[in-house]
Amino acid sequence: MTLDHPEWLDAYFDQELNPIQTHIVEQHLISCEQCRVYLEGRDNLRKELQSLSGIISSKSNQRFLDEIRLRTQRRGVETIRIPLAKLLWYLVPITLLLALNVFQIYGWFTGLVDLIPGSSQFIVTSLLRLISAADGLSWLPTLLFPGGNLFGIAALFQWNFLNQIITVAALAVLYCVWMALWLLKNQRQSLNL
Amino acid sequence: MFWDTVNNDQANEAETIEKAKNGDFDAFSVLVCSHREAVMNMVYRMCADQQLAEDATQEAFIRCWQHLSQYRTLSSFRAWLYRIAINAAYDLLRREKDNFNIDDLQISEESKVEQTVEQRQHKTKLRQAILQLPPASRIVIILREYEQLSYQEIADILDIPIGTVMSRLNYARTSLLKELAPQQEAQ
Repeated sequence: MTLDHPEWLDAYFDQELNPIQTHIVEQHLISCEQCRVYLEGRDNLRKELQSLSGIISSKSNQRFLDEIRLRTQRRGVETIRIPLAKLLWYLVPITLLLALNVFQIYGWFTGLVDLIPGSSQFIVTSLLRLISAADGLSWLPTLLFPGGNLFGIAALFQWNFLNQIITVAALAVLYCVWMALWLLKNQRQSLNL
Repeated sequence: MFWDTVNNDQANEAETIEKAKNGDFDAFSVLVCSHREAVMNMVYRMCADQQLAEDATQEAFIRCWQHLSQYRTLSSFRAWLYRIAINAAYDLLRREKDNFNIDDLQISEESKVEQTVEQRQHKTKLRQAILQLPPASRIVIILREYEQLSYQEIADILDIPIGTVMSRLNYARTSLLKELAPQQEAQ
């Protein structure tokens, strides 16, 4: 350890290192004059800072409390506002989890449908007939099956096992990334030397 | 023996907070009396303005009373309160930004008892040096040196990573030492 990373000496000075880290620093200090001088400077500064006295309030506790009581009564209870950024930390993982569940249930459903031969084709053609029978919805089949190919709703019935796995894996990765970001923001890790 | 006292104090405070949460103003008064001085001094060290410190402290306790239901016992009450107080102080400072100038501040002189002119000047110089630090570093050194908070508590209060606490603390100390170096050499 050198003075290239003086924060660690500060952490040692503030007794924020674990016993092993403390031992490493102490071993280093035996042979490093520069670091000992550095810590001595910190110690002197602390003594000086401690010598600065604080202030005493001009108001008595009773008067202070009376003023608080008066001001809180006047202001009333404020409505609780949750900032959007804070809400997102909870909403995003919940949405991802819900999406995972929806895809899973959809996977089971399509799996069951596929067990009956020709059932998916039957659903698609039934849907088309229903849509064409309804007045004013003649544009819908074009939207659902553009160019006569299987897109839109029909494509969902083509959703095979591999597609399901890829989607679920992508959502799981997104969820992990989100949790990692959350952990990074609210990190509780110990100091590593 | 020591830990028994500490645990009893913590249990008592938790009980008082719970009562205050249920709307007991007398219980809240106990919390105010036990934390008021520390909060006020912390804000005073941030801005060196006694009036502002008193106003920010009052504002902090009003916010604390209004949002006490949001306090979770998992975190330290003191840290939670400090966070509110720092925000209240910044809000007040922002409001008075146009009038606020470090050089204009009338830094109260230390108690004149048993102090030489040099000692008083030195302390005034030290207060000026603290005030000249960037606000982000100033608050970190105040919380560490005067409130004896751990790095984790400071990180929680300021909502920053521990690494940032370490670097800001290091910057603040180094800057203060540089600022005071000519004086120390003279002494």
